[in-house]
Amino acid sequence: MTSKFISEKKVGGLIAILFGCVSLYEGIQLYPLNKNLLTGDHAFPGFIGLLLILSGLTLFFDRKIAGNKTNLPSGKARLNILLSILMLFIYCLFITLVGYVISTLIVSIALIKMIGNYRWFFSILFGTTITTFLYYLFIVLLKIPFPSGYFAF
Amino acid sequence: MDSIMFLLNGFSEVLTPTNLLIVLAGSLLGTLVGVLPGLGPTSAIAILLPVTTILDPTQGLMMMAGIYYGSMYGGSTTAILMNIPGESSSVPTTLDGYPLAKKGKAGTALGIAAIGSFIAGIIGLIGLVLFAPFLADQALKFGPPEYFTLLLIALLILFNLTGFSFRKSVIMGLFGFLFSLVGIGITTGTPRFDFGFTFLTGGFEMISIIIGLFAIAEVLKGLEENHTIKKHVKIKSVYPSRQDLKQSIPPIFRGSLLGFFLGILPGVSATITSFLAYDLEKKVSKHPEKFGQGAIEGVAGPESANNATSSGGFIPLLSLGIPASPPLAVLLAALMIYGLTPGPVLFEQNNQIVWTIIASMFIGNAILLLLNLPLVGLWAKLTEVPFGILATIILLISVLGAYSIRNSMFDVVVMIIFGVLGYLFQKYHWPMIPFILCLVLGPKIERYFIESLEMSSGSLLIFIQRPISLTILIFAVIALVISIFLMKRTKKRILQETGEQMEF
Repeated sequence: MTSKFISEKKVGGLIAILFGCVSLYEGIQLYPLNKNLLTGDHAFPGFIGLLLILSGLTLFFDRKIAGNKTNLPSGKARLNILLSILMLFIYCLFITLVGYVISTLIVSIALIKMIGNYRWFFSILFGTTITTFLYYLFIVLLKIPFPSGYFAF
Repeated sequence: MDSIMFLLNGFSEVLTPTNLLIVLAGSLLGTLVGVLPGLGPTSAIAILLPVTTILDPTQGLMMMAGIYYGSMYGGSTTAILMNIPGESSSVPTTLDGYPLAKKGKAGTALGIAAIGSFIAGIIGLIGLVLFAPFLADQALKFGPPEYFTLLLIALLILFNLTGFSFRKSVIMGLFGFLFSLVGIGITTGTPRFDFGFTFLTGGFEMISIIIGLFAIAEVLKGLEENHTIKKHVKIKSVYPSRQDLKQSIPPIFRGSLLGFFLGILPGVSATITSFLAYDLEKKVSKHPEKFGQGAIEGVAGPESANNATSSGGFIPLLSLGIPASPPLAVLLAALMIYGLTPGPVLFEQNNQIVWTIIASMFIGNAILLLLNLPLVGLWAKLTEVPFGILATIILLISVLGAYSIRNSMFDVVVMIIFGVLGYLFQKYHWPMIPFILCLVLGPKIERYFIESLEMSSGSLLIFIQRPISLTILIFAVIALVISIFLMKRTKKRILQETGEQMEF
């Protein structure tokens, strides 16, 4: 994002304007519930909205383009980042479906294999160790009620 | 005198086998996370906060304080052994710490860093014992307008500190405010920004956001880097020689005093004081040419200043409820999770808890010194943990930790989204500190603002008509001018030494 038209400043400015509009809208929606303009649940959403729109506009129309060039990762690094994020979302889904133990075991083995590029044997070994350690920490010690899913452990 | 009695009472509470074990565990856990490359005190506290929830509030907070100190100490290990400053405040330590390590004096540098951190920590804590109750007592005279002015000004000064564009800082701060407003409104009890979704009615859990922004983002950043294990330098003896100690004691005291007294001013961060301490040592040295080549004073001064400033940060945190840095913002959130209200009433309502925590900090510092010197070799070994294993553990603990705060999968999803955002913020130099501070302080600022205007029947002049509020404003202008000057200087120094911009 180093082009003049889609610089990070312009994108940031646009997002600020967008969020500012949402905040201002919420402030307007809440206004009828209160008696005064400056006191009430609408006041801060209104202020923040206005300030975000103003700051976003100044950033969007700023002529100076930031000097620091940022390169987003490419190739294997990008794939690893995207897969890790995806894996975390899958983990959330798995925990609710199949419960803590199986989902943690599968995800930990997959993450170790993917990030560390270890052989399957080591990935399974490390994954099982990590799952056992986390089981004792969060379930036995901290007694966190994780969903047990279809398989109750 | 009362403070001393309360502190002694606090010591009697801490000196039980269970509590000592908790302080020990906190210090060790903090050091363990702190030495892992890329993870600093903020991530350490955020990730480990859920683990402390099985303890009662006093024990939980004692552990959190230990984690804070431990992770601060752990940061210097990677700076000296691997030339990796975990935080910008450790940059000055690398300048002479790493050359010392290459000369075979890694143990000496680590030992002096530990001794310096201990002395500075104790000086900072003495200051905390003397000043915090006094400040809290004065702050009891504050009403909502004074608090609002104080918090708003503190935020503005801290925005200036990020080292990046002030405009970006303001926008990030406003985003933080916006996210803090989601949930039930404080005056009418009506849900705000819920858009009809029930999961938004409870608002965002700030710890999940913090874990995402710091821990997950750090792993994602690590995934694009080359992870051939950087071998650390071999460590010989960790006990400094008499000559090293003689050379280091004056810099330790100079750094500690400079770090503490400048650090209690709003807007002067640990990065600023550690660079000032380094430059001061270079100036007063008879051999300034040795700096950068492995001068032990170049490790002793900045490490002490760094720790004294960090300890000094507890004064505004406990007496006014104002965090001076992101790790302290997470600690503020932790205090609130445990049902405490940081600020002047804390010393009145929860006197025993506060003094027990302060006493535990003295013990924690001593434990760190006693244990970490012999364990330096072990900590150094930890820096060699392969990234594939480390990243997996961090990601899984983050997911489980975020879930365990409210037993909610929504919080985990929020954490992942903020992890991605945190990665992009770092990539494009959008500062996260204003976001975190406003996220944590947003509800307080809103409450004080509304209460102030209810007092004045809607007149904004209340913020300048009341003498204390006006005085705060005048002091704020002076603090802001000092802060701008020091920030510009530190920004230049960081660029000189590392060749890159860093958030501090």
